[in-house]
Amino acid sequence: MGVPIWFYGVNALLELIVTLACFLIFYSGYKAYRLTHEKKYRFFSLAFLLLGISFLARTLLHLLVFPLNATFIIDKVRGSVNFGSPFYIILTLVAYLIILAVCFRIQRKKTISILFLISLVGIFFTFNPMRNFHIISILLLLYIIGHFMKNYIRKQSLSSLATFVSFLLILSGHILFLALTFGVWQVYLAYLLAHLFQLAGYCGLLVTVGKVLIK
Amino acid sequence: MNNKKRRNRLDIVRDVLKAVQDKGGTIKPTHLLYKSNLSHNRLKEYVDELSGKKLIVEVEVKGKTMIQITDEGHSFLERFDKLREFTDAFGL
Repeated sequence: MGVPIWFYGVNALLELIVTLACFLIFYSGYKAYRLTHEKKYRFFSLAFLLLGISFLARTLLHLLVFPLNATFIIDKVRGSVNFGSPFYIILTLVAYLIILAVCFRIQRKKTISILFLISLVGIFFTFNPMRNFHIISILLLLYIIGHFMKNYIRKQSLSSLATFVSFLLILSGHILFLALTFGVWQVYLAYLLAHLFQLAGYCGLLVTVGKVLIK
Repeated sequence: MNNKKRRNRLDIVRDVLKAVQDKGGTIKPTHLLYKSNLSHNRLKEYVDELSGKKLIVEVEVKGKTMIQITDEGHSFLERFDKLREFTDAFGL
């Protein structure tokens, strides 16, 4: 998959904003946990901590690539970037599984670990791990979004709508990233849009969750 | 048909704390029993839980056991609405 050279640095900046959003959501969730001492808030915040770390890893990798602004060097370092991908994939996957477990009140650790291991096998025992990662993420997000859609129908509140839409945007980002692995559409535009959708999704969540931050 | 919406755990916690707060911060367990609209066993569960979370404390006043709301309990009530919105947003 080709990434426009001018976009190196810009993608890191967008991911850095997503990283900050994830860490702030983690902090909000942790505050809710401190207040209630309920495990669901602890796991919820943990999921966003993991997402924050995974995006931070990606940001740092893209920042490393940015100063080497030449195609041949980028091709050379692509191998090293791929070392960062498993880290990002595993943390994101665990985070989505935790969100899924919290939403569906799955308490059995064995169930989650089986889901995680099957996902890992499905991702890493293929020729294109990133493609399978996006497919599995899309599937997990579809279930998570189903929960948020039902929640919105039940609550009819602005915050539940914002959560639903935010996760839809995150899902759209994954769909675009997946499309890129198949080489469809105008690559540069799709890559930019995927990042923007992701950014909008996490910022939407931040606005919703951030209300807890403000006393 | 009962039109009253069933209270969830967070609602009950809020009701218990509010009942103590409305009584000036200290309440007799029997008063709390009817104010919170819970059975004796259920109220005991909540009192134990809230004591564990340091939102209330059991104190001795003139030889009688009373329930007193703590600073953390007051703080919890202040932030309850925001927490409710947070919980509602994610359907947790």
